[in-house]
Amino acid sequence: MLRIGLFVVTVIGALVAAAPLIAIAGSNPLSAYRALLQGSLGSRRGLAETLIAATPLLTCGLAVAVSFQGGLFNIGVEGQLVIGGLIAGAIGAEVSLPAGIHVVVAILGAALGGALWALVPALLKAFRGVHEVITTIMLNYVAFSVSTYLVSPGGPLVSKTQPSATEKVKATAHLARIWQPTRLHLGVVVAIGLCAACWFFLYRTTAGYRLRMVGANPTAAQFNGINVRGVVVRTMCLSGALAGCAGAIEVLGLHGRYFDSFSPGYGFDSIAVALLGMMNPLGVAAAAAFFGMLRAGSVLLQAKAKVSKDMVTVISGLVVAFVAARVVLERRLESSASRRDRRRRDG
Amino acid sequence: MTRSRLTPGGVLLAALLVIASCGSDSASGTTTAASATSAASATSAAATTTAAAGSTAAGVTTTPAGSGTAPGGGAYSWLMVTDQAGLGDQGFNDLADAGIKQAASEIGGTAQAIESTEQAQYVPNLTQAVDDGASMTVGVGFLITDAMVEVATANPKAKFVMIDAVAADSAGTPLTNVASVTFKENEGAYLAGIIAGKTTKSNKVGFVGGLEIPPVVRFLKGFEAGMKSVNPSATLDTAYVGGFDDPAKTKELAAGYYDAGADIVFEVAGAGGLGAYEEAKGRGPGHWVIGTDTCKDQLAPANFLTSATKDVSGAVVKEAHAVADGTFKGGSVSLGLADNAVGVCQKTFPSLPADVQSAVNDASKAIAGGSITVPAE
Repeated sequence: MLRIGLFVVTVIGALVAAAPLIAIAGSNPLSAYRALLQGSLGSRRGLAETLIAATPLLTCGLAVAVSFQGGLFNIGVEGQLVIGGLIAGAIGAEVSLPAGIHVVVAILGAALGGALWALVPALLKAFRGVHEVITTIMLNYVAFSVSTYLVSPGGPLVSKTQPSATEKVKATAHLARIWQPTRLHLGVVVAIGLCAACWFFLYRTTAGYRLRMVGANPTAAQFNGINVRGVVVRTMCLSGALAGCAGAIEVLGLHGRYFDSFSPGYGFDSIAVALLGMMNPLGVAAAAAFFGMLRAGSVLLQAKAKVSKDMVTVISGLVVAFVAARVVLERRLESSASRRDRRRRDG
Repeated sequence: MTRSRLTPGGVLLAALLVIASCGSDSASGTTTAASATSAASATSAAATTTAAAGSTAAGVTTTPAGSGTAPGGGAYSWLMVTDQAGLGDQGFNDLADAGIKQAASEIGGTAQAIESTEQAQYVPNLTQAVDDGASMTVGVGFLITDAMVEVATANPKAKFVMIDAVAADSAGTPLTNVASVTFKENEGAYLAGIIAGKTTKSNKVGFVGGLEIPPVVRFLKGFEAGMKSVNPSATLDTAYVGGFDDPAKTKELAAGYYDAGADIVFEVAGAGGLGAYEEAKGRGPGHWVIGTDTCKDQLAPANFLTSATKDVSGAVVKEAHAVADGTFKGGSVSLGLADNAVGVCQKTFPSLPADVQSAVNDASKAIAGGSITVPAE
């Protein structure tokens, strides 16, 4: 209950704080928010676009949340996502398989690729104590350069007609569109399924409990007979696999081919999503939906309310600022609650 | 005790994040300002007509005018969807924006640009333009091609202009409701290459491209051929940034060329090209930059040599007139020197030495006349 309240306070706080900025930029904040709301929820297409925009944020947000619950900060989600998207695009375009199997193979291949991309930092962390923030960030650049090379002119995967992209994914590997005439695709169902699975795994299985225990206190976990190294490696790979899935969903569901520039930084934005969602899969889903609304609504924001698209970036930034401020608020609430408890006990 | 120490820490973190978000805010402010200036400088006529008027009613396209003059004042709605570089790139986004503004002032109606920040937004942005009753929607850059094909196929009655790529169906036939405009960048770059070949003293020239894609390669090949035609001993080194929005990397590459003894850098790096001018400016006169798409002399007046220009706005205005006249025709068209659609910066051209000017003029006539064929790849 408290958590839902904090979520709502954070979001509303950011929107209120952004209002004077919109006014300074020369627009009416109320009509801007009306356009945002109308653009994201007011029509069939808007609603579909909100879900489409939320899908990669949700899947990547889960990747961040899972690693964080295990005490790891995976900043390499973006690179793992790119690798996943590239593998899905390559399998989708270059391999021939029956319908149904093809799409599953492409997604699993992407998940495997993402997991392998996370394996190196995981092993370095578990056995050499190298901080995962450094290694995952560095591997991002490796991923960007490798993928750019593969689809550069003369690269092995580049399309004949479209620069900086692979050939179109074959129809057998497409994630079907599920709500004509919008472009909403099966990927949103996959993402929601992954979200439910992550929640179940973290809170209803022994392995998930171990993961959270290592995250909460690795020393205590070790003394309780948990193989901390094994958990660290598995957590990081799981996080990478989720990120790889996110890339596959975008490529197979939305773009129909791997574009070198398909991700505007979903992997980085998802850190904000996971923070707003308090690292809980259900919270991440709510946060992804909110950020999805901002993205989808930004079209009407520009077209109708004549507000710069950058205002959406400003609101997102304010949300992050309020998330940070929330930590302070949370402590206040906790300390006042414990003081009340003490007084009750003492008195 | 720990609590009282942690709380200021949290406040500090929050403050840092606020500062960070303010930083990105002010950065975006600069971009907007830059786009305003460049749009104003790119066209003289457009400055007054902006998208201040309310959005227009639907059903515009059903009443084409008989002549170039606007029938019902604000009836037309000229829209464009930018690529990821957005407005302020001093390149084709700004040029197309200037084009729709000029169309609005010449023909009437309103002009508006919808900016895209990510690949996934191309389809919804183009669809939004169609839903808003656009008389014509301009899409810019090769990355928007798939989205253009999807939206144009779904809306066969709407009219589109595709800049820098060909929107074709799965069989490879150009769509009939999209005017796909590509440019012979190599022909304009050939002339810029002549200027470079005659200007360089160290006989070393550097090339910084955004991505190794066909239009950029056409710039490169034409430039190289032009340079060698007047100065066979000059050498050209090439490097790519890996994107069109990275001024820091462009600056670094330009610095590398100057350090290695080059005195001219040719940038085809989109919005990131700004970095090359910054580097040259810091090093002072004698370090030249050759730009792309538009005259960029205001960025570094003492260092700007010339630009291989591309009249994107002219092409957009032409298509807008075709829509207004009812003569709009889809399909693919490639514009070059013979169409006066590419060339070198005219603003700084008169200040070049007379022999350079005459060499450029001669080559220009020869290319337009067909006696010189400029390599494209």
